Amino acid sequence: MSLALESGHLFSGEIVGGSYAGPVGDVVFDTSLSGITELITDPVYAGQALVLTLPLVGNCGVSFSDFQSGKPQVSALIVSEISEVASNFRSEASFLAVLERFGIPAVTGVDTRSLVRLLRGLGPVRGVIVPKGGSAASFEAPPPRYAGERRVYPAQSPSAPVVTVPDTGMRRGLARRLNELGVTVSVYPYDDPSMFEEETNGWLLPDGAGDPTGYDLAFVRRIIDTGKPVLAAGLGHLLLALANGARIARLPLGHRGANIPVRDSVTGRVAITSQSHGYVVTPTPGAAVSHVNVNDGTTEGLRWRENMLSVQFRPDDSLLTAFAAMLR
Amino acid sequence: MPKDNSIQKVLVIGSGPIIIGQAAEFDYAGTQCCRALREEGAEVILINSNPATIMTDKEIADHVYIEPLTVDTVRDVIRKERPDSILGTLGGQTGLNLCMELAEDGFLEAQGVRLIGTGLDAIQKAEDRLLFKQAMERIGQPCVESIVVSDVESASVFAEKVGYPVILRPAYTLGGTGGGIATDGKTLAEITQGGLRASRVGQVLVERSIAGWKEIEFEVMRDGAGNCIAVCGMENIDPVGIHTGDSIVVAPIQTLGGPEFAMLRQAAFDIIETLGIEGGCNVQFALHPESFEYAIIEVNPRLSRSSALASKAAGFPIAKVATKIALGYRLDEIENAVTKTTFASFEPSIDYCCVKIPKWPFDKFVTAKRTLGTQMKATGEVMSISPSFEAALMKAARSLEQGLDSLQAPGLKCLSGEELEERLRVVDDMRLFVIAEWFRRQETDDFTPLLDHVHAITKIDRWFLSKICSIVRMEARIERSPLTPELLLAAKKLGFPDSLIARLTGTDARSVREQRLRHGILPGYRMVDTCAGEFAAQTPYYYSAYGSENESVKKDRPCVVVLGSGPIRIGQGIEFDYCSVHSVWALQKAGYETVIINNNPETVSTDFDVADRLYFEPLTAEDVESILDIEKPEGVMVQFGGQTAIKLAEPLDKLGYKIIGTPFTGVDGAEDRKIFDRILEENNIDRPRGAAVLTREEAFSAARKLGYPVLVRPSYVLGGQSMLIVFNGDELSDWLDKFTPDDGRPVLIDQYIMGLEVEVDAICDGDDVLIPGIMEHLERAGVHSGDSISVYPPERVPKARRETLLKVTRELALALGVRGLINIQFILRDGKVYVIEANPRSSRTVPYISKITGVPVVDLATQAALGKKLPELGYGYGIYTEKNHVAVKLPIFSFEKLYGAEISLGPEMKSTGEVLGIADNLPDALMKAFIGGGYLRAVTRRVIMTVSDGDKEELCGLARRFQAVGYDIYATGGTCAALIDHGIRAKTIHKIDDLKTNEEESILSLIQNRGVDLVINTSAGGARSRRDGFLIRRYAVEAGIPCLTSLDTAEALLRSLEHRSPGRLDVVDITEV
Repeated sequence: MSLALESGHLFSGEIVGGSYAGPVGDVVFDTSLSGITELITDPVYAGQALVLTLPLVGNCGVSFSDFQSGKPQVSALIVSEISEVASNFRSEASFLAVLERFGIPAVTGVDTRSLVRLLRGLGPVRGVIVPKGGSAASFEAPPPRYAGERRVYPAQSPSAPVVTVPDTGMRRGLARRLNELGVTVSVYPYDDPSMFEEETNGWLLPDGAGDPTGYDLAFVRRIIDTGKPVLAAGLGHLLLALANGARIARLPLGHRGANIPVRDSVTGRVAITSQSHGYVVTPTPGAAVSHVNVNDGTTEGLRWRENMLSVQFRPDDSLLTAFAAMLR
Repeated sequence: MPKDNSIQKVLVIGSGPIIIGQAAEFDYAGTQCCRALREEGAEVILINSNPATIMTDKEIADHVYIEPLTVDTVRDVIRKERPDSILGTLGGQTGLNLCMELAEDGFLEAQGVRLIGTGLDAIQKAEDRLLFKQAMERIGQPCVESIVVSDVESASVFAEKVGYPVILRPAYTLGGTGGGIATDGKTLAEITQGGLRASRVGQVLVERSIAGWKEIEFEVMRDGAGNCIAVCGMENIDPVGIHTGDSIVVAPIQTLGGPEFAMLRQAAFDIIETLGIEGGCNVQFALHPESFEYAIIEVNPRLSRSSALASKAAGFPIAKVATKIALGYRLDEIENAVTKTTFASFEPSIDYCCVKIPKWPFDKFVTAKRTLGTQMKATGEVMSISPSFEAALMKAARSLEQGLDSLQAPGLKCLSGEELEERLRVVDDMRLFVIAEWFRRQETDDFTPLLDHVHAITKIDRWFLSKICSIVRMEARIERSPLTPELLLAAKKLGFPDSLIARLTGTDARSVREQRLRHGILPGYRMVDTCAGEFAAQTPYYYSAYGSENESVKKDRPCVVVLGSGPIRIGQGIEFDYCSVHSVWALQKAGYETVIINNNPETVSTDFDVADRLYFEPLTAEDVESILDIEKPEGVMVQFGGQTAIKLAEPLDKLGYKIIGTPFTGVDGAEDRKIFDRILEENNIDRPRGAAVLTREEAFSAARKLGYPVLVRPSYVLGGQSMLIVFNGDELSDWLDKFTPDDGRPVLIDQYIMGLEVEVDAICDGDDVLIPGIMEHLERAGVHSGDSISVYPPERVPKARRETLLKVTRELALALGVRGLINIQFILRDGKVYVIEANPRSSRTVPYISKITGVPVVDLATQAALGKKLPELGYGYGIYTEKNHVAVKLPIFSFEKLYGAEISLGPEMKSTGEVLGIADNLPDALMKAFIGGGYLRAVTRRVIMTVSDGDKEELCGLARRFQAVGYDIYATGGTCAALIDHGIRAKTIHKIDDLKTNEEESILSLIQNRGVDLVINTSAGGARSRRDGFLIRRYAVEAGIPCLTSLDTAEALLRSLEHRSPGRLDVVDITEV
């Protein structure tokens, strides 16, 4: 089997996991060195074919507790090598078995470095999995969509403050971390208006997949109008910006990895952050820039108002702690 | 926070001689540091006693002091140079300890010198066991249950409480010196005693054993503003219990899930934050293999061996960034030298796998215990890079140069199943090969139970074992199935060399290569770019990968490939890296594009900004050829990378690649005894006579004819291995019992001429030679030149003899067709000059002779190799004008690290490093060298003498002189009687065998209680006396008491002591010599 790109390039390998052949949506890469289970189950990668630069994948098998959503979200996985053995005390299934169970096709044995070097020059490009010798009929894939879920992650204390989340792609790890910080997390499918009926101390606009301009922003505006504290991250950061009338632009490369340095404009401190996105908010009057990318100088965080934290990256502990404090 | 402009003049302390636990990595770190300082406009003063380093070059620092690394000397340098700052975290443990001593006693403050980079407080917190534990407790970071003791009693109380085994680690030592695992009260007492002595502060840490846990390291950096990054995470394949320097290490981390990885990374950040590190730091964790329980093993608040490895594995110049942090920069202000578009605050991402394997010296120390534990024993290491773990492991294995091209070790084939099973339990240098052989013998396809079995015994993670298994299964596949192009490619992707595939298919390596070429199966060269391909990078740093595109870009200029010298080992040390790097620089100056191939992560040569392109690859004919196929160079430089490089002259010559400089025929002429003898004969050059014999009878008859003593060695061994001087038929018989080869290869017997040994390095341009300087050895011939004290300029070589040396050197160099360097060893006796050995390549004396004479030896040799004539280079022919300064090169040994190793000097080289003493007269230069070598630390002024019968006469003369300079003499029976006979006061002490309990002044108690400064011991005679001598020497070494095994060394020491008492000597800036 091969991965064919819209650009006409072909990368051959062996297919394992799901037996799907057909369009797989945007082909994107991630340079993370660990936490691959977390990565493929992160809703932010929903409907995209993910290329891993880490050459040896699945060494530790899979622990379902590391899932960031109910299932692997990627449309396909492009890797160099998947481990035969699953060697970790927490492993519940081999990486391969999980791909099979969820029908995720993985092309292995690919020269992923050449692919990444190509992708970084191409910009956004779509792909198709084709049988050997076959050719791509169409690159049209359904737009990446993450259904969202209704779920409550309760903090230990019954009197804990509640944050409500319109689920564009909430990672479970984030919900659990907020629980640890003493916050109950109440998640609704993002288009479910009943979330506004619940008593809440604040809002979290989480990360998510796909083109931010494809969302109906009504729910974001409604959230802004409540005047309550808001934490927006990743896609949420883009949606908040759009709802506030700002513009966004597609980045030539995108930021995808676990090693992206971001400077806090106030303290000057640099944090190494995780990100997976292809857009950036263009500078906007009315919002103070709170964070900047050290490498390319792009905006990584905006302060729309005193009780609104909005960042392009996965919020780290200092942000979450600050947000939790706002909720009290 | 921009640069701190109050930093103008910085003192950098190096790490001293190469010893086990402290090798070339600090030359790499120090050199990078000096260059970074100068890049920022600071004036650099450097002090290091090791002349073989690049950091001590005039081109690297503004003022260079090759002086003993003692507090007194550093103080003198500070008083003379008046630096405003000192940087102590780049010179290993040695540099760190010196800095701390200077800071603690207030000297730095009094002199107005600031300790920049990680501060005193942070260093103390990280280094002092108790302070560290308290700091970690405050932030809830778990340490291993432990106690710091200063006596054996407390150690044993603790061990009873937590249960045996316990691990013992002395404070403030390097490479785990004096540490170990105690399984019961007796071993506890022994190791604790040793450890207390080894520790600078007399402290030993006793801790609960966590052997078998995973060992994980993070190289982290923190700037003055508190920003942190993790440069690289590394996993030891060998679990806790084996020193990380003796472990096979892989990067990135392979067997941790996301949560464990994140937990340890965060812990590393919390630790350096609380310590207040400003620069680089190494944090080692033990992680329970079946839970989230972890413990901090160690934190090194400085650059380390691991940071050199991490730098090379991730392509991130840690030393440079640490230096800039010390100058005040923040991580996000320092540009990433690789991508030039990102900053140092970007964490490197890795899209390949790196494997490091240590290089152990057990081939040189046949009596040393090969088992591995908490005491590091490796002298060096190799690293390899590949997309697959299997290929990285295979490449590293063949980079070790131990005669193996794969995980197949012929020696293990003869073991029975039970023996092999037993060997799995032994942790030694061969374990990797034992595991592979064990898998090879199993006749089953279901490998899960096999992994479980080996894991249960070795505690090595199943994932690593599965990869060894996968290599073994590929061997079987190749053996059993036809070699299709698909299979061939699959084998190459697993790192199989052509030679192994040929062996498995019953053909030869050339045929395999031809088959590969027919099917286009060639390696591509991928770039190490710190960002996994995310950004375009310019780093000229490559590794091979089959089934990959080629990223290596050749420019239009003609290019020359320089072969490096591989792992640091005894006999081939950092000197050859010095030569390789200087050759690269000379080639660049001559307008060539340069390529270097090497596999040693500790060195300057594998810094990606030295050559125009760096290939991090094994130095085998196949690996080098693949690179040459792509590079198509003008030629290959093989004369600067030691034996590793020069032995590739033959295959490369056969392949039609041009050897630059001395052609292969010259190399062959010097190596092949028959040709060499003929050349000497044709030129009427004298040599010790010799014979090659096949039987015992022939051996005895040859020895009689040549006359005892004779030098014996097997013909197939290089570098003095198994060489011995035998004085009579009995000794010859003993030796033949041990070493007569049973494969019909001859034994070489040579006349042993006891004379003055002299050495020259000469540059030949095809017309004539230039000798930068003649070096004279203080020990008489018979001690390996690398283990002798070497003196420049010579003191006992008269003018006429120097002319003869020049003449012979010229004749020999021209006869061999040398273009470039040649090293020749001579013996002078009775007015005659004998040649014992000639090597048409650089030698270990090149850096030292370059520095002291000011002749840029490697530069001239490189130009001569390229075809330039010496007169046009401005240095002319003949013997270069002698300098007024005297330089003494003193060998340094690492015997205390190698339990059971024989320390007595002989024709086989044993030293790991060297120090230099420079002064305007010989006795002072000698004294500096002896101080630098740690020979004059103690002040009891007592010496133990116990020598062989043949040496007694000569000893008496020395003893009288020792007495005259104030020494009390203790001697064993026979030696004592001889001394008293000559009217010398000496006290009798009992030999090992005659030990009586509670004997106040037995040889053992004197040594163990450090009641003496010095032991002089020479061995010979019967088995008992040999064994006694061995034990005395070992006890001395383990007690840290200098032990001299040659009377000539003792004489040299006397000469310095007679000149003046040990004390302060003027420091010399070699840039002014």
